[in-house]
Amino acid sequence: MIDALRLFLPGARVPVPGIRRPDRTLAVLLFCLVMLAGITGFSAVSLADDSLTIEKRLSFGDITAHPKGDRIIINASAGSASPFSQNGYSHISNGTSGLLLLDSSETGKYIQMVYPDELVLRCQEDLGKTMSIDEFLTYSTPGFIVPDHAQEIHIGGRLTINPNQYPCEYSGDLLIILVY
Amino acid sequence: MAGCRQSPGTAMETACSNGRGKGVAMLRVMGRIGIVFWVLLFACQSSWADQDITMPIRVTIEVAASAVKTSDLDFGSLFPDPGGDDFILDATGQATANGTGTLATADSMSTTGGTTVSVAGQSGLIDITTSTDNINVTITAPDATLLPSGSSPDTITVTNISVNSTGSGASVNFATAGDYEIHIGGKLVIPPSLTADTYTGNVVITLAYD
Repeated sequence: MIDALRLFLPGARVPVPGIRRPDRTLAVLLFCLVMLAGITGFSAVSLADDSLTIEKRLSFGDITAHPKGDRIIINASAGSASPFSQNGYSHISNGTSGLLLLDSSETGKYIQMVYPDELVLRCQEDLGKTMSIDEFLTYSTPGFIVPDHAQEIHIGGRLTINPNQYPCEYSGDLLIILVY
Repeated sequence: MAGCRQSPGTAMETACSNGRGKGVAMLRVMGRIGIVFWVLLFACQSSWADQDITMPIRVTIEVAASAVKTSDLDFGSLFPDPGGDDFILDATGQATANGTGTLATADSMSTTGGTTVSVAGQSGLIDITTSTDNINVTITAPDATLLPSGSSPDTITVTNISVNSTGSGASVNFATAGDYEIHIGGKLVIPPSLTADTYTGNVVITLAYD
């Protein structure tokens, strides 16, 4: 271990001539453990015990869109929600807010949800055809204090349908970050 | 190191005691440094730590309106004015029937010269199905479409399609989702001394929804 310490501090003098080997060993071991714990991130390891699962994916459903375009909103800020048309003309079926389930050991701790400003959805037949979703934060769970049971996190957003939007199935992946 | 434990009460023991004291002090210092280091890192990591998850999103966009041509535009059989003429088939009076609605007015045919009608024609018909409410439809067509003869170099020109069709060139509002009809008319420009024949052609009608 002394040799190991010399390796860590090349050229440095190790002033422990009188200390017994078990003490020096303990000291070096403690120091290394502290360094190791700091480097690897002990709290991150504990967070890894949290269970975060997707219970329902976010779906704006099947939309017969008005040719002028529209905005479709899923307001899940207060819980599960269905999409509705902002101009009232588009017909929507089968849509629903997304649902995450967090089972965390960090009871009582505040968790902030971080969403992207905008997400582009692409037509699966022609990737050049796109539409976008924004306002995730406004229409989703913004943050919460971790309860002593599984926490439901509802995800909504605002979908912008362009005028004469190309008929297609559009999809994308939303990256959500939970900041402790 | 072994000598320290084997020489009690000697000068060696004093030296060993001094050495052990330094070692303990070093142990304490390193321990304190470690604790401070750990506390700082833990505090920092409390704000750094996060988890992320990727949620798939989907949506299907379907067409709001579809159109099918169900009847050709047919100007009928004419005896043209030898000096040339303009023959108009005006379909603007036709109703845009919703569902099983009936036509309110027949096509109107007129001429600026002496052309007479042998067999009456009919306006073209496009059936439109809308799936959303409050859709406006505007009809546009080329300024001029040529109808060539099947056996001579003569041609007849069709113009003014939009203004002689449903909506008279303006947009037509379909208030509720359902089935509608769009009637297509136009003006036939008959040149002088036209060869007797059947003249046919195709015209692209554009329906703009908004």
